This record gives sequence, structure tokens and C-alpha cells, in this order.
Amino acid sequence: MTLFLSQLLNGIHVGSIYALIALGYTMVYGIVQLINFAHGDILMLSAYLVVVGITKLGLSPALSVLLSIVVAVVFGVILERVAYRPLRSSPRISSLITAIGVSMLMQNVAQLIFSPNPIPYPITLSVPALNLGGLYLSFTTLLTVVLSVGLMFLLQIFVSSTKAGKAMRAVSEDTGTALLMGIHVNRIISLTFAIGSGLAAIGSLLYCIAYPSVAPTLGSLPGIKAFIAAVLGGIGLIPGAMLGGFILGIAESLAKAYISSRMSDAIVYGILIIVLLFKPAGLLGTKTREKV
Amino acid sequence: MKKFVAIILSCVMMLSIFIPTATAEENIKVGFIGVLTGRGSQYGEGVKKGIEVYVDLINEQGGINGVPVKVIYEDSQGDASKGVLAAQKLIGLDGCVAILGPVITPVCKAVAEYCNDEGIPMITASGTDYEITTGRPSVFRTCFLDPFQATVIAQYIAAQGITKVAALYDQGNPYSKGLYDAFKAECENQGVEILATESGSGDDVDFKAQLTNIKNAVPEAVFLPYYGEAAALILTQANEIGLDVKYYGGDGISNIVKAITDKSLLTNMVYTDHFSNSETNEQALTFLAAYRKKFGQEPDISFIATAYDAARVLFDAMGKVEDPSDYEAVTAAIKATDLECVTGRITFDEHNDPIKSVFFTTFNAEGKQIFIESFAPAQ
Repeated sequence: MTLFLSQLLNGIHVGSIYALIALGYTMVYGIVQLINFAHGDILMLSAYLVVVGITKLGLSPALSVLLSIVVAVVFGVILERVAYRPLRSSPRISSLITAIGVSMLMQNVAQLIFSPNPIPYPITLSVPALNLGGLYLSFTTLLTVVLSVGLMFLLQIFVSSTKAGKAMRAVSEDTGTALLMGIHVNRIISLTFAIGSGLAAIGSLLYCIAYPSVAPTLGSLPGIKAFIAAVLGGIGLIPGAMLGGFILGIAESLAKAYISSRMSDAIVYGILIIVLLFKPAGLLGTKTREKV
Repeated sequence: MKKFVAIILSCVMMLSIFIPTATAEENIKVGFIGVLTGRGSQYGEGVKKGIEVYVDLINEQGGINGVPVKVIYEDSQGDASKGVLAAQKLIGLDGCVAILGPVITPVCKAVAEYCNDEGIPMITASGTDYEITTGRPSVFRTCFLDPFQATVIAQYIAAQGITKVAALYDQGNPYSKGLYDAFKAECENQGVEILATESGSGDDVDFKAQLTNIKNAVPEAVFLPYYGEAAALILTQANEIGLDVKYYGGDGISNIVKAITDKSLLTNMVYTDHFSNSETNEQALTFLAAYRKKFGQEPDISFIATAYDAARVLFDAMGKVEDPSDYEAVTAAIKATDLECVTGRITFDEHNDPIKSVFFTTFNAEGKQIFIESFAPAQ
């Protein structure tokens, strides 16, 4: 039983990281129907910023993390302004290809600057794990889960109760009408990218504390997993991203523990296919949201 | 006066013709092939340095039975066909009687084939691929094969009185899988029980599920045949779930220091290597002193030591035969080698692989390597 609970805890840990990253995908998709493939690479960017902040600039870990979040936010806004906004009225496939292009560009630039060799992440949390009757709850797990669930609630409150959040929902539902109603659509889209990138930077911190190795391809794996989590839960929906993230993390962990580590990805993708067969819009998605 | 100077000069010229040929006759020439430029050149350079140190030493002692040794160095650029061309040039044109090297596996295989066809003795210091010496009686090596260290690790673990272990390895990686298979086989021989076997695949970063299962089995030690980058992630996550045991890995672990943030976790990591600069046997001390004197630094890769041993084994064998250019006699003498070397006492098995000590190494909390001991395998 303890073993099962431990494995469940492992799954919740990794799942909450996926969920946090998935929020970025889902928000951007919800508002501009763009799958921002460069989202995972913002993770990589923030990780390298923390490394540079601590090892090159000699900043404290907290300051480096703050720096990485700020730069990621600014980068996300610029990315949208430069790469995606000019293509907003062109076919959706163009933006999608652009997103993949940006992702590759970022990985290659990182490779040029930092070399393809992985380097250790300079922040560790050396707080001993809590022993709950044989069940080890590490501080990293606790921090990750609390932080991601907390941020998700904050985001949900922001979207449902603030004026900017209301504007976001309006743009998401109908951009044209929102524009007519006097909403600054461009500003709202920039805001969405800013929040998404900021969450990616926090996700990057949590991911790198758990797996402290930074490489130019760092963002690919969590990026794709988070994207799947977003789709599984219903892309465009904040609670969907959270649910998808947890399901994915737990399924992965239990598959590794009880079936086979080699099969874990196959099992996870299998779940995705089965869910999408029965609920094409994801677990929490409703068909009416799909705009064609 | 002018005539006198002219006579003197022409005499000098005449004499100078004889000088090179005269010395050439007196040298025993051996060819070196290795990658000295491009990718992998740090290994080639290391092996070359190891050979240079031994050649200097043996020439200071008067060479082989009074005849000085000369090594001619050729760059293969890591290319198999260039390696074979270099071998043909060394043997055919330069009159070399044996080959030291090559350095990397593909070149080793190609040159080994050529040497085997001609019966030329060849010793590589760094070719760890099993097939290099298979079916080639004149081809030897002084580095151990990858799985060999796993066999020795199992013996070492048993010698520590540990009877219950677990293993975590990478199914998709031949190095990791090879080490695990050898480890498992030797554990059965040694009566060491493997309580849990878990595997990861490819570029996995999350090992917590597997580690939790391992922890649940309560082993005394964990076998970890990984490279440093992955091992760093594994140690970090093992610490997170509170799995506090000794971890044993092969030479792939050696670069872990660069990959891990929390260096204090490394005190639980024990790994095997071809050599340690802290070794204190007589040969190693001679080698280290000579190396420091020649290059003004510590040997930075362990293949420098195996290269020194390759040269030592070859020249020792040549010293035992009447004619060093007699391929068959030299090959037989190498095969019969039983020599105290830098990396331990070397003998060769039926596959021309060395049976020798493995160097167990760990780290202190600052990530500095600490030599534990050299452990000779059960013969």
C-alpha cells in the first residue's frame, strides 16, 4: 500500500509540472487557436537564464529565478508580436509552421551559445524528505504540487473575476465581436502570452529542480507531454489542463512502476487515443467550443 | 687553401650520406596509428603520450637488448580506410614490425583485419569493442572490455559481504545492457541475490517510479550501469525518495561530477576505471613520475596508462625473442605475457583480452575523485 501511495505521489509530482506547463498551451490555444510549439523552449530559455544568472552574473538563486521569469514574460510577448501577430489572418497552418520554426531556431541558438552538452542546474533543495510512516514526501514534491495547484486557482480566479480575464474570455469566444465591444484584442493576446510564458518559467524551475540537467533540448519532452495533457483535458480550458496533467503524470508513473518503463509512453499515448475517440474535445471539452 | 676546404667539405658530404642509413639499421621500428586530429583526437593524443613516455624510458635503459626503439606516429583522422593506408605505409615503407593502436573502434577493426592477414602483431590500448580481437590471433588489447568491469563489480560487491542488490539499467543502450547482463551472470556465480531489476529507456529523465520499486525491495546496494548525465539525475531522485545505499557503476560514470549539482550525493557512488592516478604500485609510480616530468601535468584520461602498458607489453615480448621482426615469435611472446604493468598484472585470455585489475573509485563531498583500491578479478 505504501508502495502504491509512493508511486501515486511520484505521479502527482510530475503531473503537476505537466499541468503547469499545459496551462500555457491551453491559454494560448484558447485565445488565438495556435498551438505554440515554442512553449517548451521557453522552459529551456528560463533554465539557461537561471544558470547564467547564478554562475555567470553571480546573482542569488531567488534573483536569478525572478530574472528568468521576467525575461521569459518579455520574450513571450515579443515572440507573439514578431512571429505570430503578422500571421494572424493567414491560414492557421502558417502560424503552426512558424511555431515549429521558432522552436527549432531557439534550440539551435541555444546549442550555439551553450553547446549541446547538458550542464547541471545550479539550484537544489536540500530539505530532508518528510517520513509519513514509510511514505516519503519530499519537499520538492510538496512545493511543486502546492505551487502548481495554487497558480492554477489564481489563474482561474483571474480569468473568471477580473476585467482583463473577462476580456480574455470575450476574445476567446469571438475576436471580432470583442473588438467591436471596444476590447484591445492585441493587448489581451499579449497579456495571454505574457502569463503563459511566466508560467512556463515557473514550470521550468520546478522541472529542473526535479531533473537538474539543462540542455538545449530540455523543453521538448515536457513540452510535448504538457501539450498532450492539454489536449487530454480539453485544450482551451484551464481546469482541463490541470486534470490532463495529473492523469498523464499518474498514468506514466504507475505504468513505469507496475508494467514496464519501456511501455510507459505507449500506455500514456494509448490513453490519449482512447479518450479522444470517445470525447474528441478532451475530457472537459464540449463540442460547441470548437470553431471551424 | 680553397682546395683544402673543398676536400674537407666533400668528405663531410660523403660521410653524411652514411649517417642516416647507419642508424636506421640499428632501430627497432614500431608504428602507431591513432586519431590525432578531429573528433576523438583527445583520446588519440592521450594514447600517443602514453606510448611516448614508455619509449623514452626504454631507450634510456638502452632499448630492447641494446637496440633503440623508434615509434613512427601516423594520424588516422578517425577514418578506417586512412587507418589501413597508414598501416600499409608503416609496414611496407617504413619497415615497422608491429602496430600500436589504433584508438577508436572502427579504425581498430579495419587495421586489425589488415594486421591479421599479414600476421603483424597489433596491440590497441583503447579499443573496447568485443569483436576487434575475435578470430585474430595477432591482435591484442590492454584495456578491458565493457562487460568485464561488471563481472568484477559483482565480485567486488560479494567481497564486501553484500548479498542483496538491485539494478537499474538502460534497456535501449548496448553499453548499459551489456554491463547488466555480465553483472547478473556473475551475481549468480557469487551467490549475490538481485532483489529488483528496473530499467529505463533512451532519454528518460524521470526514474522515481523505478527507484521507488527498488527502495521497496530494500537492497544493500544498487548497480547503475549508466553514463554520468543520467546517473546524476538518478542519484538526485534517489535522494529525494530517501534511497540511501551504495551505487556501483562502470567507467561511464566518470564524467558525473560535471553533471551533478549536489556533489555530496556522490559519496555514495562507486565506479570502475581503467586506471587511477592514485595507484601506488611500482610501475604506476614510475609511469606517473615520467609522465609528469615529460608533460608537466597529471594524466587526464585513463587510456594514457593503458597505452603505456600496450607499449610495455609489446617491447617486453620483443625483448624475449631472438628477432623482433619475426611476427610469429613476437605474437606468441605477447600471448604468453605475464607482466606487472601500470594498470595491474596483465595476462591474456583465449580471446586476447587482458585479465587485470579494475580500479574502484569514489568521490568526496566536494566531488573530488577518491581512489579506493585496485581489485584483481578471480582467476
